[in-house]
Amino acid sequence: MLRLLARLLKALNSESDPGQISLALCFAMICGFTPLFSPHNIIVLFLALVLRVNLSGFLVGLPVFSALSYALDPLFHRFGLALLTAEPLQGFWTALYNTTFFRLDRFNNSIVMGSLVFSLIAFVPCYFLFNRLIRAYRSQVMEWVRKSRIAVAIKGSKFYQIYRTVSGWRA
Amino acid sequence: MKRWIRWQGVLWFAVLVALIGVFWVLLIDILVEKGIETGGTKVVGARVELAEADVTFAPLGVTLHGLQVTNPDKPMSNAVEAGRIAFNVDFRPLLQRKFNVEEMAVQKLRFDTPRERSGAIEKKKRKEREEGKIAIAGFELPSAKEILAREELKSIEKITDLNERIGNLRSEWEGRTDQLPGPEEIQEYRDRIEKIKAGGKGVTGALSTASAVSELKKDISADRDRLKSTYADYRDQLEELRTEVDEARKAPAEEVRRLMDKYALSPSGGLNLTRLLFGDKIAGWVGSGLQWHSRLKPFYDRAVAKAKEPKKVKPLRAEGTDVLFKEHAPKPDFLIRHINLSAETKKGNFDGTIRNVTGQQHLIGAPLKISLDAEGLPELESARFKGSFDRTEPEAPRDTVSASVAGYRATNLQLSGRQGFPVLLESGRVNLDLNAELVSGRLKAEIDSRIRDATLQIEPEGKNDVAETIASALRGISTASLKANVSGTPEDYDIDLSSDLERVLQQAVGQVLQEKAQGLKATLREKVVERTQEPLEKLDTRFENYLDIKGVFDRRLDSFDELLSELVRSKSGVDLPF
Repeated sequence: MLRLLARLLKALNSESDPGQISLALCFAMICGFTPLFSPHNIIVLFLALVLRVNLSGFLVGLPVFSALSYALDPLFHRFGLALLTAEPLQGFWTALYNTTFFRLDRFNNSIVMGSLVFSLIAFVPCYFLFNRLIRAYRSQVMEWVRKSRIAVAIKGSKFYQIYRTVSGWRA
Repeated sequence: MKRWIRWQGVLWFAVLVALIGVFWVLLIDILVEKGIETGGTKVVGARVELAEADVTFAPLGVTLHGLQVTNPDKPMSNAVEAGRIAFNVDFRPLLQRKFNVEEMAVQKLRFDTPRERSGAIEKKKRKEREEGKIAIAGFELPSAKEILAREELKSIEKITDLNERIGNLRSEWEGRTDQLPGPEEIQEYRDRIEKIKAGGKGVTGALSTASAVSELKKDISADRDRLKSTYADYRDQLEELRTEVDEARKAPAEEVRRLMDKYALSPSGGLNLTRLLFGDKIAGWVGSGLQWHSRLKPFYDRAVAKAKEPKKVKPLRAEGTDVLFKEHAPKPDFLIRHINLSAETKKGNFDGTIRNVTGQQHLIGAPLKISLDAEGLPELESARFKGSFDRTEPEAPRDTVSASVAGYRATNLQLSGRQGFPVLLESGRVNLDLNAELVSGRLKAEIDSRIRDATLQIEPEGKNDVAETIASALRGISTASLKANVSGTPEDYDIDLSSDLERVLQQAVGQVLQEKAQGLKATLREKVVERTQEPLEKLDTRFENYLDIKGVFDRRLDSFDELLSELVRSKSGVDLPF
């Protein structure tokens, strides 16, 4: 995990495209918010591997969003239930309910539906938000962090050694 | 484009999926095994174990070996054991989370086999059906003292409650009568009459007197009507209370009858020795049958969830609520169309079929049917079992079972487990017919059994003349028939037993037992009367106090009648034309 975190930090601190890290975090958000072993997450995993996204970002983001989902599940449940029971959508859901993939993925479950729709809606705004945060970090926070006392302390730690090792691979 | 695509990712994905696939293939057998054990244990309420599960993928099929289902009532034995169960699962419905099996083979089915270790899952105290019953060894009756030490007398409670209620009602009536016209008003009316009598002379005086008399009469009548109306309410209540007091007076006798029914050997006054001997055994069979009927409910009766109706309400992590929608071609979530059974018992082998195992029969329009047949077994001429559990119309459930056993060569079969008086059929030929139905919650069953060429072994425990006499009467019997009629609901049913043994037993000991029961009844009556005497006396006193209210009404109404008569007299005195 430390190694993964170090890789993520390296990516954050490097000149690499912020979009790759943001996209990875957005994919991790879908996998983390929705029940992990849902079939749709295979598609997300495929995209995360095939598209040139930062895999460290994806792997670090996954447990973070999974942990967050425990707190957000009541919200997902309410949102999903409202969607599934909305009168104007009944025909649409009924048609989907009669398809194999809908049943296999349990889209008729309030949490599956709520968390998936929520993370899909949040996908694009989060992508731009993460991009902005990464750029802000690079331009304003990174230099300040480097000079801070905590950073100095960390530089003497084992974690920093790992970070150096990871950085060294690229050097 | 190239900047965004990582082609080696396709390879990584393929490797990852392959790894998951291999992992799944390696673990699927264990997962199925554990799933069946966990699910089965939950349904049965005792340990369900499986020696091995083997899953094949083309075609998708499962073979189970060594299934053991513990008997929850006897954790050291298996209710059912199956050597091999094999079936293929329809793949397409499985993708829609529907488990459909067209044909299943169950082989080497055995019943009541011993277990090496206990299959109990928790130690819980089983509630006895007849809680609080005193164990009566042999045919000895409990003493009145024993019965009364154990029983709370309902008659005392009934009398005390009524006593308290009458006291409250009396206070209430006192309050109400205070609000009604009473002595003060009567005195006022008297004064007004006197005033009228001493009224003015002449035409003007006569006219004003007439007007005053008319007004007074109206006032008196209005008050009298109020009194009469309230009095009517009181009399209605009085009649109700009188009935209740009469019932309370009869309560001790009812109490004695109830206790005699519960503890004496002569239920409802009629001595039924057949019931005494075989009642518990039959009740045990009926109870056991109903228990299994209820345990197997998920396989033929699942609550019908309607479309759009949320199924769960607890939004836990990854649980949430399943919303159901209308299916174009609805199919059950779980269905086994046809099971071929072959069973091995100590008495020989037999075959059977089970059809339509599903908790959603309304979707397939066919009930669960079980049919088992055996013929030409060494110890049995024939045996047949047919059962139908119909939930095709969930509002009108209908379950029927019929079974018959012919020419069963019984050895060491326990006929009665009565404490202190076990009856064992050492050898004999048994024929048994059972017809039972449970329709919309009403249970009706008939059990007809006949024994011939019987040798009975009866060894009563302890020294008891009655038990000895019964034992010697039964020892000489070689043929017997026993009929049981069960009726009621699964939770509360009555068993009516009759047998041609009854006459033999009655001749042997009927008179003696009747006398014993009469003696107990007399003592019980004496003791119950003694205990209820004081509360009954208090009730009588309080009821008499309540009756005082009647006197209040009567006196006031008499006074009002008197006032009206006096008014008429005074009217005559003044010689007015009305």
